[in-house]
Amino acid sequence: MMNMHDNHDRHDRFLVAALAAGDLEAQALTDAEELVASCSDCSELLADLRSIAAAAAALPLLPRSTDFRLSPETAERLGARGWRGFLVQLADSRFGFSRPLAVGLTTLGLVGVIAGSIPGSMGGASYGGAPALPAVGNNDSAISSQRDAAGAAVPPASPVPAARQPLPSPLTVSLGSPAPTSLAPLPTSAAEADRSSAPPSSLFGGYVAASSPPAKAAEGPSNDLLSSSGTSGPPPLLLASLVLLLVGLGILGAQWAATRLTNRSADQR
Amino acid sequence: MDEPRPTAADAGSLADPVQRRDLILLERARAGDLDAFNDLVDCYQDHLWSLVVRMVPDRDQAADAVQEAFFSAYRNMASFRGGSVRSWLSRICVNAAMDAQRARKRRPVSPYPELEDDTWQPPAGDEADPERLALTAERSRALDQALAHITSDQRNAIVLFDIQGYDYTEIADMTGVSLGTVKSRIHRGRLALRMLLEDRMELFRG
Repeated sequence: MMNMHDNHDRHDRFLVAALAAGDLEAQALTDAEELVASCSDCSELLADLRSIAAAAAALPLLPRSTDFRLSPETAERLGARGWRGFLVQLADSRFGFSRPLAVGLTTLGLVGVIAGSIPGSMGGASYGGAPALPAVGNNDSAISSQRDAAGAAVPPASPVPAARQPLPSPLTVSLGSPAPTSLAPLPTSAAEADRSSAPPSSLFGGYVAASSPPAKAAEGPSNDLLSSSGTSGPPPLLLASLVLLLVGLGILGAQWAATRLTNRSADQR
Repeated sequence: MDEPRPTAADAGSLADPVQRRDLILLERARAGDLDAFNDLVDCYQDHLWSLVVRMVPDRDQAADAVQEAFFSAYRNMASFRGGSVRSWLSRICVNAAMDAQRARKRRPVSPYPELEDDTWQPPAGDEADPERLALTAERSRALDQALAHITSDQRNAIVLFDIQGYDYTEIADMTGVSLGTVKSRIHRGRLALRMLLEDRMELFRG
C-alpha cells in the first residue's frame, strides 16, 4: 500500500485552497473532502489556509497620517473649465495611457524624421541635393552631382573650395523650403538617356540632381533654396513623422502641465 | 442617453440609512457644496486608506493614490449612476491603487519600510493580555511582510476579499476581471502566503 504522505506532492493543492475558500460544490466538494480526510498533509494545508484567511481578516487598521479633505482652492482647480479643466482631466488615471502613447508617437516621429532625412533612405533620397544611391559603375557622375548640389547653394566667391563646403542639411532643406530649383524634373527622354550615369530618382519626388556643368554653379550667388519653382513638397514620410513628433510632444507637454497643476493641488493637502 | 441621476427623493426611499446619507451628501456636493463632499471624505478616508495601504506597500504612494482617488471622485461626481457610494469610491480607489502599483513596478521602492520598523504596534485596548498582544503583533507583521512578496494581482484579491470583506462579484467589478479569475487569484494568493510563511506557521496555528 502506498504511503499517502509520499503522494502529497501529487495532490491537488488548488482543490484544497478552493475547499478552504468554500468555493466547491457537488462532486468537486466530495473529492476535496475525501482528499483531506485521507491525507494528513492536505488536512494540515486546509487548516493553515483557513488560519491565514482568519489572520488576514483580523489585521489591524494601519494608522492614517494624511487628511484627504479638499481645500477650497483645490476644489476650484479640480472643477476648472476650459483648458485648465482639460488639463486636470488629462491628469486623471483614466488617461494613464496618454504618456506611453506620447512617448511612442515622439519616438516614431523622431525615427521617421531621421530616416527621412538621411540621403539614400526612404523619403530622404535626392531631395536634399545628394543622390539617393551612388550610380553603379560611375562614381564620377555621383561625385559631380554632389559637387553640383553643393556648389549651387554656395556663392562662388567663397574662399573655401566648393567640394569642401558642407552639403545643405537635408532636414533643413526639407523643413525650410520646398525643393530647390537645382533639382529639376527630369524629362522622360533625358531620364532614359542618362539612366546609366545619373543617380536614381527619389522614391517620392521623381527628381534627381540636375547634371549642370561646374561652370553653371560658378555663375553667381544662387537664391535657389528660397525661390522654389513649384516643385513637390517634402516627402510624405518626413511630413507624417513631423506630425507624429509634434503630436507626441504636444501630449507630453500637456501631461507635464497637467501634472504640475495636480501636484499643486496635492501639495496643499 | 443619460441615465437619471439619483436624487434626494431616491435617497429618501432607501432603507439603508448610510446609503441615504451618502446620496444626500453626494447630491449636495454636486450642487457645489464642498463641505458635503468633505463630509463624504471624512466618512470614507479611513476605509479607503486601509484598503490602499496594503495594496500599495509604500505609504507615500498609497497616500497619493487615495488623494488621487478623491480628486477623481470630485471631478467625476456627475458620472455617479446610483447604487452604493462606498462601492463607487472603492472602485475609484482600487483603480488608483492599481495605477500606483504599475508606477511602482517602473520605479520600485523598498516594500513596507514602516512595517519593518519593530517599534510599530497595532492599536489595542487596555484590557488586552501582553502576551497575546505580542503574538498578534508578530503575526500581523509576518503576514504583512508575506503580503508584500506575492504578486500584486494576488495581493489585491486577498486584500479586497480577506481583509476588506468584499465579495467575489464586487471584486470582479472593481478589478475588471472575471469571477473565476478573482477566485483563482485568491486561492493562489493564499497558497503563496502559506509557502512564504511555512517557517512561521506556528504563529497562526495557536
